Amino acid sequence: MSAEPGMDGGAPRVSVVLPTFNRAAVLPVAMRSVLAQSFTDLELIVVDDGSTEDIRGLVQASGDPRVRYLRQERRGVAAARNAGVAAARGAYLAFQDSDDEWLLDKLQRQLEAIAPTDPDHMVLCGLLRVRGRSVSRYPARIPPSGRISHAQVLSYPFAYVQTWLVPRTALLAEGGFDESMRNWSDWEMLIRLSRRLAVHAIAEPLVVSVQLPDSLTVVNPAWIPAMEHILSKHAGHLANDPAAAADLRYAYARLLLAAGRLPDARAVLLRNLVRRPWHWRSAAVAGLSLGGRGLLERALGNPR
Amino acid sequence: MVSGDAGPLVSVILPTHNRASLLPRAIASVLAQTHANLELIVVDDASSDDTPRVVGTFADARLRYVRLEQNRRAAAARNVAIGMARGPLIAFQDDDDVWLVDKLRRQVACLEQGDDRVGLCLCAHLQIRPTSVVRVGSPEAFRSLDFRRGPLAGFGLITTPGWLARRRALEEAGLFDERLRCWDDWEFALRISQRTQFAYVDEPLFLHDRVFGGAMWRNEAAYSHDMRIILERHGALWQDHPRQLAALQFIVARSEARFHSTREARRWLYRALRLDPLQSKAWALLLGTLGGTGTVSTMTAAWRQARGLLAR
Repeated sequence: MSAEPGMDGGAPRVSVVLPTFNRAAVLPVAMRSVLAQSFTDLELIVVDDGSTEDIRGLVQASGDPRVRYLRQERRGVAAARNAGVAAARGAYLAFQDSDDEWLLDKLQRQLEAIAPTDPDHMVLCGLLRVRGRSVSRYPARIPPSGRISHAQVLSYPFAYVQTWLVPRTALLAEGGFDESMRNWSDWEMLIRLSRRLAVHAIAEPLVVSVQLPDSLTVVNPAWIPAMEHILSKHAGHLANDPAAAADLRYAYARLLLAAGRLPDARAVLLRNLVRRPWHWRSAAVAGLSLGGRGLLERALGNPR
Repeated sequence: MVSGDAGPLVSVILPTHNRASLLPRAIASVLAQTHANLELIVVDDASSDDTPRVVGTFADARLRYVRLEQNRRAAAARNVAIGMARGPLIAFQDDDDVWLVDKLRRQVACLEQGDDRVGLCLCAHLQIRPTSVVRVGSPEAFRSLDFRRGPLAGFGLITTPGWLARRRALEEAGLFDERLRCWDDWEFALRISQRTQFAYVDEPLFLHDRVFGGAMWRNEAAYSHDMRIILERHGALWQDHPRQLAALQFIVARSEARFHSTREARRWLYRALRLDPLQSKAWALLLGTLGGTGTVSTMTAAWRQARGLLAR
C-alpha cells in the first residue's frame, strides 16, 4: 500500500530488529506480523541469540528477501539488539519481540505521526498485554499532547521496546543498549533517548503482547540490581532533576518492599523525605511500613 | 510460512456497509493470515461511500468482491456469500474488527482435531474501549453457554467474527434469518447448536474496537422486532422456563416503550408479569408507560446515570 520495498540495493526506510532465544513455536507469528505490514519499505533483522532450536531454518522458510539472519553466541537480549542495530541500514529503527504481534498498520501509523518538519523524534504506540486471563493496556495515560516527558519515562519502569520507532542516528549516538544489564536495558535506553529527543505516543494499541501464564511474575527480584544500576549510572543528571530522582527512588523502595527488604526500603524512603519532605507517596509508604509487612501488603497490594 | 497452501480452503465472509475508512484494516488482517489457503468474499451491502475503490486497492487474487444494489443488511449479505463460498470451512469477519494473524490456523486446528460432530468453533477476543481493554470469552463462559437465557447473556462470545464453521453445518441449519436486524448471529448459532456441537479456543484471536465499531451493536430499537421473531420461531425452548421467557418478553416491552408504542409495551408487560409477577423491573416499566414514551426514556436515563455513579 505504501512505498515499494528497497530491494534495488537501496537502504530501506525502517529496520526492524527481532532478537530471539529459541521460541521457534511463536516466532513465525511475530515475523509474519512485521512482513505483512501495510508499510513495506522495511528490512527485518532476526538476531539469533545462541538458540538451540533451528531459527535459521524458520527465517529461510519465510521466503521474503527483506529478512536477514544474524547469529551470535548467547550474550543476552541487549547485546542481540545492538548487533541488530549495527547491521541495520534504515533511517528508523523498530524492535519486535519473539512472542509479540504487531497490528498491520503499526509502522504506517507511526511514520505518519512523525512531523516532516521535525523528523528527529521518537514515536511510541499503545500496547495490549495479554497474560493468561488478565489483559491490560499500556500506556495507561497519555497526555492530550501525545508528548511523553522525560519525567514520565523516569517514573515508569516499563519501556515496551516493541512500541518504539526511533531514528537510528539517535540510538547510535547514545551508544546503544547497555549490555551490562540483564533486565530493563530497554527502559534505561529510553531514559537516555528521552533526554536527547522528543518522545511522542499514539494512544491506540498497535502491538499485542501475549505472555505465557507461567511468566506471571508480579515482581522480579532481578529488577532490584537493574534499578540500582540505573540510579548510579544516571546519578549525575538525576542530581539536576530532584523531582524525577525522588520518583525513581520511591519506585526503588517499592521494589525493596516487595522483596521483603523492609529496613533497606525505609532507609531509601527516609532519604527521599530528608531531601523532599513534600514527596507525599514516600511519606505515606514510610508511615505504612511502620505497621509491618502485613499492613503494607494489605494497603499496597503488589507494586506495579 | 507457517502453513503455506496447506490445509483446507477457508472462505472468509465480510459484509460491509459504508465503512470505507475502517475496511482496509479488516481486510488486511484476513489476507495476512498464516493459514494462507483462503478466499475472502467482501459483500458490499450497497455502500454509498468509497468502499468499491478501497477494496480495489488490494491486489490479491484471493479477494472476491460482490456488490448488492440495494441495502439488505448483514444477514442477507452473509447468506449471499455463503452461496458463493467454495471452501468446506467458513469464517466471518466484520468491517470494524481486526484478526490476529494466527486466528484461522488456530481455529482450523481446533476443528480438525475435533470430531465431525463439532460444527462451529468459537474463540475469545479483546474488546478495546477508550482507555481500557476487556477480554471476552473464558472456558467457564463457553461451558455455561445457554441459549435459553436470550441474546443478551453470553452474546459477546457468539459474535460472528469468532466463528469458524463447517459449511455443511451452516447449510443444514438453514442459513441466517434475513428478517432479523441485530440478533441474526445469535439466532443462527442457536439453530446450529441444535444440530452440532461447539468447540472453543481460549485465546483472544481478534480485536473488536468499541471506540469506532460500537454504534451498530446496541441497536435497541430493533430489539422488539427481533425478539418477536425469535420467540415465534423458538417458543418451545422456554416452555418449561417461564421466568426466562418473562425476561425476554420484558426486553420486547422495554424496546417498545422506548422507541415504538406504549400500548404494545403494556401488552408485553402484562404477559411477562403473568409469567413472573415478581419481576420488579417490569412493574417499574409499567408505571413508566402510564406517563407515555418520554417518561420511560427519562427514567431509563436516570437509572443508567445512577448506576454509573455507583460504579465509580
